Amino acid sequence: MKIVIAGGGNVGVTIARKLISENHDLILIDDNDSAVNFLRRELDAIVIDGDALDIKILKKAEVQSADMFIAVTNNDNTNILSCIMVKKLNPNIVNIAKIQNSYKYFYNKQIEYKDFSIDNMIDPKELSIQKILTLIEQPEAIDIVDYADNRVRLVGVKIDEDFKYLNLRLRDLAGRDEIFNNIRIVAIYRNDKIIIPSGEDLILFNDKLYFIGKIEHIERLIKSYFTTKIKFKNIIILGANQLAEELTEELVKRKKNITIIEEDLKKCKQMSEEFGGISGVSIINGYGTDPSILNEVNIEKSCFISVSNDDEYNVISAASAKNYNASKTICLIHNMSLLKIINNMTSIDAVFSPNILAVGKILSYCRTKNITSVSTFSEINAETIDLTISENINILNIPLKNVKFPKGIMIGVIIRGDDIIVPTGEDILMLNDKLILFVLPSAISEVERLFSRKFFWRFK
Amino acid sequence: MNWKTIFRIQGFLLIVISVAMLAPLFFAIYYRGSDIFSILISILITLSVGLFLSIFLKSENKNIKTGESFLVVSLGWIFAGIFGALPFIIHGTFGSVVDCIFESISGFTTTGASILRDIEIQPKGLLFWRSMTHWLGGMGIILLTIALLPILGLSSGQLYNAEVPGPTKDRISPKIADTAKILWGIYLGMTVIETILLMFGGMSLYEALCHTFGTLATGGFSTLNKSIAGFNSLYIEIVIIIFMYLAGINFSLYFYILKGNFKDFIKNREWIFYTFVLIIATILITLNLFFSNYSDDYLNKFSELRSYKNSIWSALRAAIFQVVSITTTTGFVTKNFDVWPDFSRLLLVILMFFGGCSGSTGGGMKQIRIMIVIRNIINEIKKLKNPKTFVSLKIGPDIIPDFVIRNVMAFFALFVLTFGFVTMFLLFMGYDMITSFSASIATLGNIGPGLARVGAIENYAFFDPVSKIVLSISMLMGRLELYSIIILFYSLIKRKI
Repeated sequence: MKIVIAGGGNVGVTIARKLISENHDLILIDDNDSAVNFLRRELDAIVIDGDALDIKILKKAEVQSADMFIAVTNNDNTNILSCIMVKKLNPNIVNIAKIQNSYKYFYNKQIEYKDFSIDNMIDPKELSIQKILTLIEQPEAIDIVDYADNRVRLVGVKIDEDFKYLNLRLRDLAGRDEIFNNIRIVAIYRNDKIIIPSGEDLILFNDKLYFIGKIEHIERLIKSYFTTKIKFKNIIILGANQLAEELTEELVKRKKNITIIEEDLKKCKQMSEEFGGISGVSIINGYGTDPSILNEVNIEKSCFISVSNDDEYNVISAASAKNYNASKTICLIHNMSLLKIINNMTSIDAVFSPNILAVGKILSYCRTKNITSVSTFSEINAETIDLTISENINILNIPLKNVKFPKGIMIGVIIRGDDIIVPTGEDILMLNDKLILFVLPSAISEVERLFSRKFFWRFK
Repeated sequence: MNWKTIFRIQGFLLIVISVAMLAPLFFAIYYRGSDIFSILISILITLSVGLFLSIFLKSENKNIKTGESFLVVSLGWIFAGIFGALPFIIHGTFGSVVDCIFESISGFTTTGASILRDIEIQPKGLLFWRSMTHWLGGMGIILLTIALLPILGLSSGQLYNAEVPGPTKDRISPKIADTAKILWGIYLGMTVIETILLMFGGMSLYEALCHTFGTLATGGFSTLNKSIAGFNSLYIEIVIIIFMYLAGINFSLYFYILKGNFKDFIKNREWIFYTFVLIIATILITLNLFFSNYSDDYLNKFSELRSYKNSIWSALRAAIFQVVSITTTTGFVTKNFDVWPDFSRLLLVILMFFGGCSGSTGGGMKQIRIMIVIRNIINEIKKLKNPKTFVSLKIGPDIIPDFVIRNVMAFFALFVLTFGFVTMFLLFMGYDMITSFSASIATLGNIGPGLARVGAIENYAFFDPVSKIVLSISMLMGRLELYSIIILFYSLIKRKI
């Protein structure tokens, strides 16, 4: 596919890297001189120095013959307007736009994004709020993704020192509790590395385990092994921005106790104008790292969510909240390159980046037709791919243990009609099965090779 | 340093080279030469080293940093030079090991400077391989490796930048592997056309291929001692002039033409400037040959000069071939230009500095750099006249950014410095002035023949081994545009200290 990306920021470059590694033809537009020079060296793509709203630049980027246009600049107006221009130049193109402040344009749905020639809209803020809400509802989970109309769930959990089966081999788990027959551990994240586990691997303290299975089974697993002893008394949000406002609205609907901490008096005022009459919402003017403030807000056994615009401030406040016995800390990070470092900090339970969420969402629109959805994890560098077997490929109808799968690909579950199967070596794949695969980045191109009949051999 | 990946790529490169050696093997068998065995052994050695490196050096870290990409390219060319010399070394008739490596590097860098005193007595398989190294090196051996074996996860863009000549590199397709395939495809197409045209002129397939390789790569190795003069055919001269001229133009422009995009072709001012330079130089040399006054002794000694005095057509025919051959840095010879008047000789040496267009197979400093340097000098003069003038440097419709100007000026200075250094070295070793400076620019600019002892009908055999090594390095520096080789030496020295 030929794909044009406008915007060479974090999101644009991450998408470009992924898509290039999957063998698409990429053309990137950016108007920052030094960024362009860097990207020209770095990416196997044409990088054009110019404004994405300049019709000459768009033509130079060959949007007329492109299959997809992705507008991910930092400016919403640029993204929208360039989509309109591109659609005019090439009516058959698929437009994807990132819109930071979608509430401004699409409030009340009087105007819809389709009106702007945008085929798929990505709102990182909305994705972030969804993420936070699932994290609050599953206090022990660090990552949750649902598949197949919410019948299958993938969950990541951190192993504490009081986990019942610490230092046990995975193959022995099934003997201890039959629930482990119905779920599968697709990955272990340990010391910055993802392990696609075999039966011989041990469960160690501080591991992050990723389980997949029927939603009922996963819920039971969480209930019996990973439930916190306490429910959150209070939810504390650090930073009073648009995201905090929308998040609070959602939490108010769910009848939670919410405290918002903000250092800027003006912003506090705005917030109180918005939520003044509602009981359960209190707004506090002060710094998130100030001990007296943290004492004041009943931080013990609360859930602390830092969503301010300042990454460092978010991290430090979350860490100090943990120090004051917050039971869960969730931290939002804009700079994706910090994710890995923060991920290793024990005082922060869950960290995510709106950009990563946006990348995952955008990539799901770029895959080939039989792959329906993709999710990229904030915590680890891996993806789950949700695909349907629509062709008569040669690995069908043979027991899985006889199929040679490339390294880095693991079948999570097979969905066959209403059945959800956690496969063993004896199971087989059949036509029209839906699969949920857990895939390391190095193996993504293999997936398309494995599951499409078109035979081609790429030299590696 | 990610040495594992760097050497793994060298392994891929050697596999490509060993496959390429099958062509000379075919000719060796066809002509039943004495070189079958030596080529066969070379293939086996190159292939096994290549397979060894590419299979056993697997690294998790496939990323190549910008600095390392220069190492990949310069090491690649050194590897190619050494392994490409194997057939000559094993056969033994080319001379010492240093001689063989000189010949091989001269081939890959498309220089065409030879250490062979008598070419025609050599077996045909080896001579074919000698010409074929031109062809491989012309469009770029790393580029060929990228095109044939897309190495996944490797940012090959940097390798492309390090090998393709010129200050700015345009890509004609988003992926480097595709760009490489397109460029090599165009190159292959032109090779087929020229070979057929030369065969119409009476050459055998073997001769036609060898001379096509020499022309399109702007190399200059011939299979005859007298070079193109040996054929004594106007038709062959015209075909070779046209294809030398075409090989000196940016190959991506041909892609625009094939796509029917004539606008981008016309907009490119470099090839217009290049054509202009060729025409002016041809006129000047023709007139110089026609009007010069020679002493009777000199005319008796070199009788061909008399024909220039008698007929302006004969002067034009000699001048146009030599101007195109020298400016494109090919180095084919129809006339012994070393006996021409000094004005013509020096003008040819100046043309050696110019070279071909960026993105062509030609060497030298490249026309676009000369254009930028001239424009920049004019701009500086304007600024001195009125310090508040703001002038930006424009070539055709494109504005040249400041960092490119700086880069070009630095390159210009470095090129002249390197030229001076090599000249001083040869003078130190005791060779005369004209031989030294013309050998220096003839290797650095990848031309081949120079003046005096390295003149049109001479060769490089008389140099001592140390000078031959320095000249080989000079050829590599010229082909890879200086920086890659300098970075290689720099990192080798830095590791030791």
